[in-house]
Amino acid sequence: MTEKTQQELVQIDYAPPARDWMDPRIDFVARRGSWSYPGAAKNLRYLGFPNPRDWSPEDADWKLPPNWQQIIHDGLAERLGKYRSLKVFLDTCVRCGACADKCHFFLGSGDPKNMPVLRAELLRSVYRKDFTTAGRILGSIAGARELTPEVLKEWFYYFFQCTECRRCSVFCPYGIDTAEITMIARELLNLVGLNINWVIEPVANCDRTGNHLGIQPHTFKDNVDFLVDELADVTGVRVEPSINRKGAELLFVVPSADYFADPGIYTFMGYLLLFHYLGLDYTLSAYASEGGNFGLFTSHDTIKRLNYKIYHEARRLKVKWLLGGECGHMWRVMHQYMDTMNGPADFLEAPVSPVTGTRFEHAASTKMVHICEFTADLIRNGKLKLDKTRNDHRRVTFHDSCNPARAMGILEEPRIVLNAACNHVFEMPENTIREQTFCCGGGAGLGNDENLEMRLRGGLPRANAVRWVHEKHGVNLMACICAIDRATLTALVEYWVPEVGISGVHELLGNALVMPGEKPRTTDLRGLPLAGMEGVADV
Amino acid sequence: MRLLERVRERRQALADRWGDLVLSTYPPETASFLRTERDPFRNPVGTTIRREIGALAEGLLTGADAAALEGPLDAIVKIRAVQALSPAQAIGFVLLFKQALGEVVGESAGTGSGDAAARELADLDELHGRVDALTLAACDRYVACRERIFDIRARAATARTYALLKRAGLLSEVEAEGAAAAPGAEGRP
Repeated sequence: MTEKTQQELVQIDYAPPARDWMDPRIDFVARRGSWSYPGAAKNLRYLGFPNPRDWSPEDADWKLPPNWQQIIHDGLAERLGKYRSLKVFLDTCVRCGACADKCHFFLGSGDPKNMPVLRAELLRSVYRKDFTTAGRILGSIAGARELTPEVLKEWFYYFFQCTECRRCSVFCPYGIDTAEITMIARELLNLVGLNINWVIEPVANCDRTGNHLGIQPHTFKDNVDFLVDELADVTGVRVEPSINRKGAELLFVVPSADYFADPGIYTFMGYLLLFHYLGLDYTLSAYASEGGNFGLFTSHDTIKRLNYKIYHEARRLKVKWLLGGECGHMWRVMHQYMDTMNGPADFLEAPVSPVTGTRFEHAASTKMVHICEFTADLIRNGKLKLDKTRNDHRRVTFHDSCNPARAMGILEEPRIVLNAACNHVFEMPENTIREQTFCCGGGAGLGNDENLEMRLRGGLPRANAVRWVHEKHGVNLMACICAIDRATLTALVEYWVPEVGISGVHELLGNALVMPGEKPRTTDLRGLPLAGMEGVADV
Repeated sequence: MRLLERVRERRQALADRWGDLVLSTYPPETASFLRTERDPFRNPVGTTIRREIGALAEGLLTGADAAALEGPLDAIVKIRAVQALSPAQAIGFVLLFKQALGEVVGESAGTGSGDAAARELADLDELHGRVDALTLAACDRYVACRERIFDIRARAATARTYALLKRAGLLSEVEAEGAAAAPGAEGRP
């Protein structure tokens, strides 16, 4: 062996060793903080899902069924037959790379397998091996791989590192929706009992009690009552929401975080004030008490199962139409899947605003209107008395939540509401908002504590734009229209831009809305003093 | 010309090379993207590293004090503290300055004999000392970032429990004078 010089001895190679992308090894122990805990057996059992057991990704043996390869193969064959889009997406990619640098997880982590093209390639390589002639004959030369246990573990790692935000699909010249590839990959993983508890427990709870946390009707009512009391303290007005009331004109469905978690509760208080102001004939439901649908992160069958309960409840309560709160993926389900799965909801009436008479034609089939559409229409028709100065202690930016923006095109409505309610609204850079908005890093079931480091990586591009708008315009609050955003962005900004807080849009509307009979307001809905009221407010 | 002056004249080349070495700590597919995309919003990691490495190189050459370097150092360490890097890998980027410096001033710097060589050696020692100090500062920043992550996790868990206990009416707290002293759920307004 040649003796090394002192110079050579202290030379450290910081460059990571080159690895072929086809090499699937994942060291789950070393990568703690970037994966989520597996689904608990009790939840799988409750749902009737396959292979319930206790296991950990850190174990060598994941306790798969003996014929797991066959199950995945058959599952993929079935879905290729069922979903033409899947076959098209798997066949058409030319690896042009347009999507490669568009994923927030790739931008933040620097891990090449977070490039959407490479993430999809993890599934595509197995598809080539099993379902294409070139792959069968040429193997790895044609980009084909055997489905080994290591490949399956790699699927689990990377398909639960995609938030299904669909930013990559905006840039694909062929319109390939990599989120749909992730959805199918997760379906296949579910067939052999591979899923994460932060998805599967909310699914089980939602199926049983109607919401993610398993909140029962009496607690639901308690929570709503608590927020009504809080509102009375701040505004002097006692609002009177009804729950499970038959014959109301409309059923209002919100993400459950809006009535139990900070800062969503302030958004909920905003809704209640607005409805009281309008004298709206609405009801909440203790059963359709979850707009979120974690079926979207599980399987198509589960989406349908959870979505159905909202329509079942609408039928039971004999309402005319549905209004939905500031939720993210609920709207992707409503806009893109509901009608095929459970629609058309022809036992309901086409939504018409009882205040303005506006007919919401676009919701003619699902019969469900987004609260921002509803409120923007009120503002356009001059139906609200708003005092913008009551948000003068806030300098606000707007984060387009992925699903309402990209899956539904709700881009202007929340801005109309914000600009009507606030004097100081500032946009983040163009390539980080609207259709090009960056994900919070915690959607699709990844917003859990154990995955926090991955969330901080994935949220870096969003936080980077928030820092810019904070430094340029002194922004101290970011509004958004998604409950997962409100939860995960709070942790995100705490790390990256702690000077900025998170809120919903209707929280700010609630601050500005001048209620008949209200007492002079000294604080906002959070109990923080209004501008100029710092010494006066009883906080 | 003194070595320090020579290096200052080539400060741009030094910063570029140092930045390049730091970007090379990422996988090759990633590094090539981080090097080429100049839009700060399309490429937050690459552009932050380039910009802040430039500021750090300038600070090291001018002997800026620790407080002045804190911002640029924090911007880079904050990113690397959440990426899949070991602590040594996360802060080792500072030491790559020495490699870049060696390449810029030449291998022979400080190795000859006589007064000129001695002055070169003193200059090199001075610069290396500043890099060592910056490395230690990076350790501090790294630990602060990691503690921040644990704080966020702990605070989220505490806030959840607190809210539940409060809602269940299980808490009896001393009211602060004139105000309820309950923290916000995330511990911040």
